[in-house]
Amino acid sequence: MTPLLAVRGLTKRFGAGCGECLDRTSALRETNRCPRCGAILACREVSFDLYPGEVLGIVGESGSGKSTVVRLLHFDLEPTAGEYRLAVADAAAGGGGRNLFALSPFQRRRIRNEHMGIVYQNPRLGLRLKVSAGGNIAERLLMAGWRHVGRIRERASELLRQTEVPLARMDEPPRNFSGGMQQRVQIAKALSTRPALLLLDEVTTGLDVSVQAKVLDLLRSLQRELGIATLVVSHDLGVIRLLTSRTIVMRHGEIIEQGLSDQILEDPQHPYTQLLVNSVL
Amino acid sequence: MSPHILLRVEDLAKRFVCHMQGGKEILGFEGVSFRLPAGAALALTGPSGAGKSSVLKCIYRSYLPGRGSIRYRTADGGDIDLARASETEVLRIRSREMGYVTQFLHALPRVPAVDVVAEPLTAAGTPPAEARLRAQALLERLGIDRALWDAYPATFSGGEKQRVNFARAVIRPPRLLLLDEPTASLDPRAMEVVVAVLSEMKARGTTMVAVFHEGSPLASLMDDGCALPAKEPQR
Repeated sequence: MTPLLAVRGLTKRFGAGCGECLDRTSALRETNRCPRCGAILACREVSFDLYPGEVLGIVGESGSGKSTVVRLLHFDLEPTAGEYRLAVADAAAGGGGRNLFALSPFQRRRIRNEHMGIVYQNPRLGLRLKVSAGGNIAERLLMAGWRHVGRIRERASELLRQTEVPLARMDEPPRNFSGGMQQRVQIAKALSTRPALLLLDEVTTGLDVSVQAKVLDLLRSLQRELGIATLVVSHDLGVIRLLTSRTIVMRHGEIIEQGLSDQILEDPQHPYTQLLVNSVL
Repeated sequence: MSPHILLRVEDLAKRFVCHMQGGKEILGFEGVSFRLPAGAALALTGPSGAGKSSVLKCIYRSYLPGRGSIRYRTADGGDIDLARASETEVLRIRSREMGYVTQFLHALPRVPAVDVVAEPLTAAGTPPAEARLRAQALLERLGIDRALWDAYPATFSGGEKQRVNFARAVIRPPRLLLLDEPTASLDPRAMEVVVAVLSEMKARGTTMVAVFHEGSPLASLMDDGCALPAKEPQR
């Protein structure tokens, strides 16, 4: 099976760097901050594959670099080094198996609009809170090249129904919505273009437990219906257990362990993963 | 590996290293070897704590095996070492060929019993309505009260949970079925049904590795045994 997404050597450094940053930081050295020049290696030499229809988890504490990885893959940040290939994007970008990081900003935007959906922890990042829920989805569809107003509206209401947002509230701005409903609008927006890749960045963090459960159930049923390849970033092992089949564990910007999700939870190998698993309440 | 052998475990060992306790090593089991022809059933026996469940978890890869190999003959004739196979390969085999019934149900929360049981069918492409009908028939046969079919298993008794768990594992008969005390909390009548279902599956070619208590009626299905020795006391 060919992976849908292949990432190799993904590295993001904040700060000028001194040439020794990679040697002076790592999970083993227990820091991602270069002691010589003060640069931060938010993620370093991260490599992994994601297969079609697969749900892969990235788990780690805050500062481990897991969100940085997602933002690099969504082109929200510029990488310092690394390669990124997306099997579906080749044709659109006009080059078979090209490194997406080497493409022009215009080409990358196009790939992002057509093939990726993202849901952020903070709805402020994923939605325009003063624009109506339907308008948020319409905007996304317009960016992906949809032109027919009637069909856009039809698709928006179909998505809101799927994500259990009352249609009566379609023309209301999400700033009037509860946190859980804002997340559901974000999910609707992310799914609107039927993306090949879905990125979920701490989507349930900060919600009440009962609301978390509803959002997770929604994601699970969408997953079963649509089978979109998904990257789930979370610090919550419960979310990882519920949604993913494989898991990557990150610490200080580095992958320290990866395996089947049930194996990571039942037989963790790395000292940090053992600490994480044993810290579950 | 000769073609009629489905599973060959050789010199398998598992050790746990507890980093939170200063790297303390705990032996799961060691020196386990057996070979299992296709369609046969093997019982793992040995005193409590000998590591019988751990052997099953290593085959299923919920545990990472240490030393040794677990050679498995796939449906398409491949020969794969489950101890070293990539996660993606293991997932593929799990979803198409391998089932695992645990003592405890880790049911997905907020999913009705009938859907818990039907899910392996729908995942394999059976239309949801048909999958639910077959799940209901199986739950009925296992003696689960009709009123519970649409309830969440989290609220069920131990014996009910165990039957839901069993139903989910066998609704789509796997080639290799791992059984970890599947009848531990069942009454004699339910136990009889479970044994009957397993014996039908066996007749249709499912290979089994099982762990159960002495005196269990599952013993009647077994063709062979592998005795795990008691462990030396550790210091």
